[in-house]
Amino acid sequence: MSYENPDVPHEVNVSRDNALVEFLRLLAGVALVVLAIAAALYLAGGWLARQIPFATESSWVGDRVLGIDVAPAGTRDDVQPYLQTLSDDLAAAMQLPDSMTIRVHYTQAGTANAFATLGGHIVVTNELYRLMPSENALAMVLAHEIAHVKARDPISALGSGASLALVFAVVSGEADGLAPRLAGLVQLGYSRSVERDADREAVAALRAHYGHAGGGASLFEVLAAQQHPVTGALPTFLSTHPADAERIDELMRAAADWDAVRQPLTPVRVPAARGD
Amino acid sequence: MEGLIQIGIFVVLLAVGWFAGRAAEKRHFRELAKLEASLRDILVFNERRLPPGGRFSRTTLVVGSVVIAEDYFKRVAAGLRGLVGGRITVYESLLDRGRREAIVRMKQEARELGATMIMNVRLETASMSEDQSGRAPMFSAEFIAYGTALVPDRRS
Repeated sequence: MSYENPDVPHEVNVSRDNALVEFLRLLAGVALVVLAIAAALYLAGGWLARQIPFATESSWVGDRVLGIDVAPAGTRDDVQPYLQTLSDDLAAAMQLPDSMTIRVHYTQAGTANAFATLGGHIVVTNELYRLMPSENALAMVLAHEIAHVKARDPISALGSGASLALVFAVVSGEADGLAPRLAGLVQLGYSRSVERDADREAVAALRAHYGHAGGGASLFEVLAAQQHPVTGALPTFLSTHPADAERIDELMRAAADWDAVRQPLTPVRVPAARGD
Repeated sequence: MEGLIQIGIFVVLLAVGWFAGRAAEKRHFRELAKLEASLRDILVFNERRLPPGGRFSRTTLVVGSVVIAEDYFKRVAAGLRGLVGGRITVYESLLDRGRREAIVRMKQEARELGATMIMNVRLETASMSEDQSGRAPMFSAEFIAYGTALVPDRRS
């Protein structure tokens, strides 16, 4: 009997595929699946959050404006009651359900901005208020934000954002700190269609309140003129809301039947103080 | 911004792992091929009994052991593979290197003893990745090859 060791082809154990190509293909596949799951959860989270009764949302939030330090603005304390009365009138015109209450905050800030947040709170900055050419434009801003509250957009955004944070936490596993920041990056405000719906609702409210939809589009012209001379940055109200020509066109069309002579715009009743 | 920095660090580590790991692996495979060729005359078998009719002056235990660590790229690629299942090809080559290196070292020990054959060869692998926290920080594996070296009787 003779003993020998044959030559063994060792390469059978080594994959001929390029490991990097395989890795990238796998990464792309997994990323696609994760994105699909994230999109599904984003939509489901938003939908589920909308099912929370408004009364429950208000009881969670209370009188605070979540996340933002609202500093009462200016020396004139009659602006806030004026904004509150105007938005109450608009809310009535928009047939806001009785269970929903709108609370308007007038705040000191360097940028022209207005936004609606959880619990029916609407924040208007003194900078935006100062720029309003007419009460009609101001009503357009308020009605737009009331429409967001009516459609439950703020809590829907919260639900979507929370779902995304969950996905990132599960996927990243060890990178705990990364998850909320990434979720924050993705949550960049409302979608275009949500904004368009809010615009339509606001135009209807303007028509119900003033009998015409004039003055709404001028709001955007005023804000666009405020474009920062150096950086070219738009005021926040515009940059977070898609201020495309289409949107302005739609407002113009809505105001096409408005006769500026017979239906004059209402001036802002309480002028902003000079120091505000 | 902070997120971008973290992603950047991740990509850099991945690139270091890919380039350094691939260079090390290629070099190791080249060395293995050379050493295996030079040690071809030492025969290895997993048979337990001595060859009939052979005359040996000495039989003794020989051991070859090696520990090989993964690189960052292998780790991430294997983690990704762990999500979907399938062959972890990046570890297949790592384990292949470990087994062959262990056999080579065992044969080198046998060569120093003047042996021409190693019988009853066994291979064992141990993962050194787990620590007490239950998290696997880095995967590395120890490979041991051992067997009975047969030193021929020169007088016969």
